[in-house]
Amino acid sequence: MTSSRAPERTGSPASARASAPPLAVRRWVPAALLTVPVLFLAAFFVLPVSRIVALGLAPDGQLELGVLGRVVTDPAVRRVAWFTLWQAAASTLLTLVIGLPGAYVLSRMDFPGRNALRALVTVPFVLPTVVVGSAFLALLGPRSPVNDLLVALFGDGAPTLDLRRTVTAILVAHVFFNYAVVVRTVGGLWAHLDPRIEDAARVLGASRWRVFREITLPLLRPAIASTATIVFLFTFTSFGVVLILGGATRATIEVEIHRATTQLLDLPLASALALLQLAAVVAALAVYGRLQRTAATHRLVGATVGVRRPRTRGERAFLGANLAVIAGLLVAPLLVLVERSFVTPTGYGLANWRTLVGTQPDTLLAVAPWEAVRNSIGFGIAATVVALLVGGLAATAATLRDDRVSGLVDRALMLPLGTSAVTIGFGFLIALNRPPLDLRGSPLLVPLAQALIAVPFVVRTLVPVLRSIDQRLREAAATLGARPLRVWREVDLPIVGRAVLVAAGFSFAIAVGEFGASVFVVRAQLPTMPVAIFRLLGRPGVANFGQAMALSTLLMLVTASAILLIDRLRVGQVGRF
Amino acid sequence: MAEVQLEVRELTVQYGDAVAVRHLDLTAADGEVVVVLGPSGCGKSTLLRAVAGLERPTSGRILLEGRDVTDLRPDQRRVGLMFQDHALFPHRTVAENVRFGPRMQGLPAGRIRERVDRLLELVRLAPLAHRQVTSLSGGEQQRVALARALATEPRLLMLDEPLGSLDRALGDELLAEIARIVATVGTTVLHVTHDQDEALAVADRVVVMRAGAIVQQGTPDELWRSPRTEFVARFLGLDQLLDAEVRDEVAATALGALPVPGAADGRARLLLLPDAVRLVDPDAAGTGDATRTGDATRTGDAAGTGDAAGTWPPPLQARVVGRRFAGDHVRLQVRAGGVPLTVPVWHGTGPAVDEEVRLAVDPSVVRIVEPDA
Repeated sequence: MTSSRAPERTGSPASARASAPPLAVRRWVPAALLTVPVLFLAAFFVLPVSRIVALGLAPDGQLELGVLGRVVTDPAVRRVAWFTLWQAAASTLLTLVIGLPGAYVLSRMDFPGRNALRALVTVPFVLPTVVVGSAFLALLGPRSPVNDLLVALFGDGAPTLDLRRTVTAILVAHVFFNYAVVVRTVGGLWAHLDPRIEDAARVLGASRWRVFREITLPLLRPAIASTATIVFLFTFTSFGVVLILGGATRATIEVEIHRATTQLLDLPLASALALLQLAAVVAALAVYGRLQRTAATHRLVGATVGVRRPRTRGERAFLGANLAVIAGLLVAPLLVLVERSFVTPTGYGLANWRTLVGTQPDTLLAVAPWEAVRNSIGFGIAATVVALLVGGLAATAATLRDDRVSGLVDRALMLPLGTSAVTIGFGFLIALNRPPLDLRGSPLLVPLAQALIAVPFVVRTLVPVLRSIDQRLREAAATLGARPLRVWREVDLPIVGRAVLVAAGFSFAIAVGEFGASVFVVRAQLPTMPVAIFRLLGRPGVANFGQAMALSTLLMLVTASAILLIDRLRVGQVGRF
Repeated sequence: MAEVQLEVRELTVQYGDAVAVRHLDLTAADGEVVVVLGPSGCGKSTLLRAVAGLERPTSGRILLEGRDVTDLRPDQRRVGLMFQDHALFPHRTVAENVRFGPRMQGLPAGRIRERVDRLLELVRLAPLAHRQVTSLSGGEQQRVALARALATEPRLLMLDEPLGSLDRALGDELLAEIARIVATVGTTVLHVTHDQDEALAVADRVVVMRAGAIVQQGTPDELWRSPRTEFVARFLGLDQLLDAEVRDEVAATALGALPVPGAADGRARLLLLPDAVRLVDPDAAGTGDATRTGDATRTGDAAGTGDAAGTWPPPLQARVVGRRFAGDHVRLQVRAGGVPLTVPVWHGTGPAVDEEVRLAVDPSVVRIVEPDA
């Protein structure tokens, strides 16, 4: 997704003008740069998706709408579709209700630790779905510390908390995930709204509530609408969280595609479901695109203008309530996850962590857990290299020449982001096992799928930075005696360099945490960390659960540190989307 | 005349069909401050960019210190350019910005440090040397840009609207600062601006450009006293213009007959310089030989009597239609024979609005200018 709004990013007039002849680029260069991205997209996106379409519409080579009809008429499938729809709507509504006050507090209130907290609330959004699933399983499942407490208080016969296979667990996990989206997008606009507009309404006699309802809310509506759409899209295509928390009874379309593929071995059904999914995603993206275009532009001010300390008791209570929500909803699950990783059958200990570094092959994983870590890092690095290459070339081409082809490729590279990971993984599985591209069983499939998902982030990170380089900086360097290649090294590279680092960090974090696509194409002997966690969670026993918790904690640390590092680098509006 | 530092011959720069600069000739002597003045879009920035090597001329040559540099890249020319809005490297500190040029020249580290220190001292930014340039105020950024442009010890320093984004008071202060620094360094300066006050304040020579060509050049005083065309006059803020019919060196105007020695017969456009019109003191006896303008040297002139400055026409009847307070004087807006004129009153408050006054026109400060097309 593009940064939904970034008012401060306005192109300078000088950068908009065509570069001066002495510093210009030859005409064929952008076209040459585009060949790699175009081939990548054709092989790893267009081919798999068209295979899904073919399999869904014509499973035996002939057009046959029976499978598609089954999707519409089969009560089981309809139940899944209905559940997917309403849980997404409920998740969106709940996220807005909980997130909007948070957006206000974090964009308009000044309190100690405000900046740190803003960085902190972003962390859940970038965590792998499997980690979030594990964390909520730890908090709300039968092994919750809450149950330990209940047992300690009331003895063995105490009532126990177990929200597995409930909608509640799924909804709460979705709010956890998307809280940051509301805070970043709506809060981003809120911070820049001119507070004098509200002051004017107050002076004219409106109560605070009236001001909110009649002034603030309408001004925020574009941001709220696009945020709601994007949260709906994310929760509609939710896979890892639902797979772990929902069990067999609470399945989204994504989970059902996985089940049809791996358990029912009904590929036509999976394809038909994927088509249904694609249609819904395209619709949601169309709404999102429309909202983006009509986004209102009002007078915006610097982000610190409207910020002030809470003054009244009510304001302090409001702040306190929101901090409590953040603590309970965002921090507690992660703390419990870490705490549970130290719980062994014999009390607290390092046994779970020791098995991670041990060389003992796990019978079910077929490998030692540390090998999953090694695989993840190896795949992650490979995916990062591919994503940087493809995304970097596309971004460079798009900014060298603003023509229709570059724009088209630029937008086409956004498609994988809209398409669900499960669809991509499933597409890889059914398309890349035959000529022209037979990669059956190849370990390359994993990093390629991960790279496809990471490329949009790379492009979105690099394009604005490349566009923002003022042509006059290059001219200044030239008049100061820098030769053409030196200009690139001294001006372009240092400015883009940070953005490349950010893009690399993002790609790596995405690749390491990727689950939906990897789970389809990963080989049994080469599991990634998310896949290993999922397998461990599927097995009984305190030790397995503890190991899953330890591995999840490790994965959380890897991704969170990558993201926090990026946040420190602060290039433009990265992290907003 | 000192050695010629910059010579531009027959320069033409075209963007597709649009001609930004056409057949332009310009020279700047060693140590001279040449200010190119013109409205936006007149091609003055393009001229600067062509001299810097950032635009490729369609035709014509550019010579620096007598050497043809037309085909050299910007980095081979050793000219300093201070960009409009500065174009500082945002990813570098103040000192790193200034150090950039000397580094490109491959100077030894000691020389670079010495030069950077000296320049930061000169622009009074030494305490901010290690700050990020993005954290500086507009005025400070401007001084960094100046230091950076001077750090290569350029053969020619070019300033593109150096005060562009600064407010008036700060601009005036920095203008004086630039003048001081340029005088210290002694470099040749090509300065581009659209602001006539700025141009007249700093220039040794002002070059007025319009539509890609030079329309007039001269010292600030020459330009101000004798603008050649109506365009130049208006651009300098001189707007008391009248139509006239000249016969036998006398112009018939709405203000009556004015002597115009040396003028050809026919239609003409007259410019009255700001000091051309004065109030005739109503208290003075006779035909008003004393004025309230406070210009003592002229108070002895009697209307109707010939003197070195020419013949003063008889006083005019006029009505005050407005007054504008301008600090050290009051500007009276008057109408005489349907012509709006402005008369400065230096002492006292002068007549009130709607009061009838009498005006004298000094023919020695009436000019004939080429009318605007």
